Amino acid sequence: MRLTKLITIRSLSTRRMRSILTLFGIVIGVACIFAINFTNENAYRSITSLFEGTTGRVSLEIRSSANVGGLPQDVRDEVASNKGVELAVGFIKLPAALPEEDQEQIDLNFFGTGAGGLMLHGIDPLLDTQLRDYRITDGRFIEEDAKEPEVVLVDSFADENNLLVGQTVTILTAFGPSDLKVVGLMAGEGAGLTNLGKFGVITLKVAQELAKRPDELDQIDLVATNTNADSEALKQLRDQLAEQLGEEYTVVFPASQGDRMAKMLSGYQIGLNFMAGIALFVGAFLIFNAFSMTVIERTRELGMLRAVGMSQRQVTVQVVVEGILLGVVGSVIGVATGLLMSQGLMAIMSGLLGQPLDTRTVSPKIMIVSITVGIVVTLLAAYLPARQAGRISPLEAIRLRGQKDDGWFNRVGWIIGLLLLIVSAGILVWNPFPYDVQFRLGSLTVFTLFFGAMLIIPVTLRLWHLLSRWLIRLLFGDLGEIGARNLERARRRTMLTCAALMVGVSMIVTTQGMVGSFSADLKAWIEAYTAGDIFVSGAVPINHDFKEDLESMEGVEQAAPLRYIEVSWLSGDEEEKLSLMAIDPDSYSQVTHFIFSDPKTDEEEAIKLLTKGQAVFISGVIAEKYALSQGDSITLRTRKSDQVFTVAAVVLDFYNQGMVVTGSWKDLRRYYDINDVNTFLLKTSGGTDIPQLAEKIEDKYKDKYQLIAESNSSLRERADTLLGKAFSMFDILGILAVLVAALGVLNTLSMSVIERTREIGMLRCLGMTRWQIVRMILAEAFMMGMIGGLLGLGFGIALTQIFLSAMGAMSGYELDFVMPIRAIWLSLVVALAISQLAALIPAIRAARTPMLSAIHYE
Amino acid sequence: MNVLETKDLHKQYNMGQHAVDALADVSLKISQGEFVAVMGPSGSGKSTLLHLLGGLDQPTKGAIVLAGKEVSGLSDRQATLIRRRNVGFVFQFFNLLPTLSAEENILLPLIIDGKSPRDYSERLDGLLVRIGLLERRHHRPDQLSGGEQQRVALARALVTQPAILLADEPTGNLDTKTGTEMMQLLRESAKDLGQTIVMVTHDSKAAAYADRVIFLRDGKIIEEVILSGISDSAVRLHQIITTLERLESITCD
Repeated sequence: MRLTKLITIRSLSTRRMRSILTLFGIVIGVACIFAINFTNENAYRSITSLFEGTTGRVSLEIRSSANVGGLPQDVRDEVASNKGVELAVGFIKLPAALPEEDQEQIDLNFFGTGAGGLMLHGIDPLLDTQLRDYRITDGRFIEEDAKEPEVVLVDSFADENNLLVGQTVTILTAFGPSDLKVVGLMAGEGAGLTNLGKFGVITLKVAQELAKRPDELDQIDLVATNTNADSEALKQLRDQLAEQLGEEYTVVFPASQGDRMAKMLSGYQIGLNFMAGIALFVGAFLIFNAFSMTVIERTRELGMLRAVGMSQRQVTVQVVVEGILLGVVGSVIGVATGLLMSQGLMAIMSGLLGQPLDTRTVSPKIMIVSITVGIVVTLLAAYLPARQAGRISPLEAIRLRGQKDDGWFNRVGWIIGLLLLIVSAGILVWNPFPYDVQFRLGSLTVFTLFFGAMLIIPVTLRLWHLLSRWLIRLLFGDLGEIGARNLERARRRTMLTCAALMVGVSMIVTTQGMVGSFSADLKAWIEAYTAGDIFVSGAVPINHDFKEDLESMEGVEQAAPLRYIEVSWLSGDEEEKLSLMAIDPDSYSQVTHFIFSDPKTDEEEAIKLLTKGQAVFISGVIAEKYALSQGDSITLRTRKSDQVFTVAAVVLDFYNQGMVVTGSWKDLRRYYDINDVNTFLLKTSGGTDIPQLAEKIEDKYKDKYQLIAESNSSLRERADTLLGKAFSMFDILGILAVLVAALGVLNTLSMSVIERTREIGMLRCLGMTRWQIVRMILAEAFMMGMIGGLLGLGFGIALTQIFLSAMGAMSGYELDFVMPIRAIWLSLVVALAISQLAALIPAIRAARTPMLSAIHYE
Repeated sequence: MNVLETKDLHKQYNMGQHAVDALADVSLKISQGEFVAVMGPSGSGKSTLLHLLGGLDQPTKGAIVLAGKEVSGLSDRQATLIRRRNVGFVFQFFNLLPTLSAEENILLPLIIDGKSPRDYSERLDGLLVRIGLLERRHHRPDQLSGGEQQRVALARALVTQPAILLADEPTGNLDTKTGTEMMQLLRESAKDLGQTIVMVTHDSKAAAYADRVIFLRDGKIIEEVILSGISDSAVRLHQIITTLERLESITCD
């Protein structure tokens, strides 16, 4: 302990700058790990708690297999009579809106678009309250036999709309306005989380009347006598009920909805986690770098300690203790920094999800994991330098300054590097494993790829120098040549610094490359999806006949109706959930266009087939994932049994992550009994003032439908912004990695200047001006920037192609690689600029080295 | 003709609350081609004198005239330029750049001055022959012995044909044999090239190669011994040792 106080702690406080740089590396890595994991966990928790809150004690849910339309009320009685069912409760959903509700823009998030609005559930007040929590904050709950229709609303929704208990509120439904008396308000928790708090409950009878669906339910929730979700008994009950009720109904666990949405996010989250891992890796580089520097700087001091009797082990332990101290402090600061970072990340994630995240609850598990990771990584990074420190001979320290590279490292290091490089590249390109193994292995393999590349850098320094000599001379003159050659003096240090830059730059190139490749397809789809001039969406379902009303307005040339529903696709023995976008092919093709995956597709013929009915367009994602093409057929579960649809064409469509088919209105009516519309795409006549027309539409129909009409250019802009936000997190991580690498350059050059103090003094004696000294150091940094930048660029492009190919293998959808030209220039400029900026401080310090003390420096 | 002249040179350092006179009223003249050794105990001011002569430091008072130009009181940049073209340095610890070959190290001052090495190939070859390292011109410092490195350092100091060559303990890091070789080279440079040399040394044998030996104590010149008329090296050495003993005995008294 005394030794630690005397040597280690004093060393840390004397070398403040070095200690701070090391801490920074740890902080960055731990902050990224914490922020991303915290955000991911919160996002997942938010989605699942939303569903858990709304599902309450529910053990199983029963719905129509067609996913649309209801169940007869007597099914509830049939289910309730089963042994194993403690309670069966049915309800009906009634989409509604308030006439004066002020929503200016269509909701846009990761899962699609929507017009908000109010969701009412028609429930049995006595039974439903046994399933779900409704915490009344004002007034009372609804009563079955009330004299007038009653409603209980979520208190935050009521506040926003200035509604009080006792007031009568007019709501709009698909069938027009109706009055409800507000008898109570409930908290925004439990069931109050439904529809993000834009929710209320009315009695089942009132809901059935308003929806004109007598004796119908949308869903039956039941509580089993054995509520253990993992129990065999519950699974048996599910299977039993499924068999009893037949194919017309599905019986599912309530968590499945939340899981589905979580799965949609998972690809994005995995990408974030991977980037966090890279940030940690880059941080580890910096730590290793800084520790190596410290050992070099303290060579004489450590040698003297050995000379006075400190054993190798004691010296090693002191450096390790230094690592532990820095690791603990850095990790704690990292977690605090991560908390701050996560506020920003969660704001972005919240925007993507379209719902707020709980930013206050921090899981102790994540904190502990982050701190542990930080300490472990610091120890791992400090281990080699600690061992080196232990091996310092007392004689070496007294005789020489600086540390020579180990002979074995020069001889063998590059061979290990080459092997790692070949094996890693082979695994990444060849991909022989199942895809879930691939992904985990892939993440590790990227690290080993970089590590292998790093180990080869020292043997290639001479080659780099030869190839870039002309450029160095051009930019820095002959003195630049001297600076550039200095890289070969401390090969290990040069290796570390160039590798840190390489990783940072490759992150930028990879993210830009992937974004570019995704964007190309996504942008084409967004353009088609938000085509036409005005996007009209209703909080309540709109009758299809409204098309004529819209077209009768001045300025509206064509109105194309759209309806999205969830359907079940029977693929072999499996049932896959898809979105079905129902359109009127004729009006749709006048307002917008399809983007066919095969340019040779006869558009006219395909649309004709779709119009005729019993045909669908499938998305490119489905086509590639399930090896389907034009002419094949798929089976969809409908209200009128399972129906076979011909694949009329394959189109570009990313709605619902590409799990979407396009069908005709005719089939929607025929097989799903639906005639109402979510959205109209409008084409306007030339010269029309689009924003004015949009406002006119809203005003005219606000009492009937509570519409939101938004110009498509505005919607497209927001979609672009959302896309930009989604990828911005990766850019931020890339920038952080480069900043960390810049610190590595600063570190390396600072050390290099210290080691060459006498030499610099000598050069000043020979007549080198201060500015010439600065140029020499800048040339050295330029070489590092160039090596790191070019290697990063090469690996970035290679990794982009590998990742796109891997994601194609996993998702079934192949994205074309788009060469990220901008990223290429950007990354080179960044690498060179960063290296020059980072070199300024050590260069100026070198130039200011007092000559006299320098030439007498020992 | 005097290559170097100092007038009432004074250098004071602040050491905490005290001021220390490292040099006081030093006036000397050095002629073209003269080889002068400066000796004295530690703290006598000999290194300070060398630094001032080389423009590495500025005097507190007094003047230094080098090759007809006053070099005291110049800005750092002006002093650097004068040093670059008019002063050669040989250090105790060689101070070669490890990444450059022997010939590149020799050419370094010219490169610093923006000159093209190609224009100086003849001069370079001549120096390499003089120092006996023509065959090893492409070797790096870690491939050369200590003596060879110091010879390269000497050639580097001579490549610009400076007005004055300043050597700070040039044999301090060499064994006796290589030290002698080094001193012979210095002597030959002074004689054959007319190179003016000022050398600081503790080593009486090294000092015996000089034309004149100046003795410093407490920042002042206390004695000068002229050796130029003495051809016998043993006599030269004896002269120096005798002077040193006498000066030491004065101190003890």
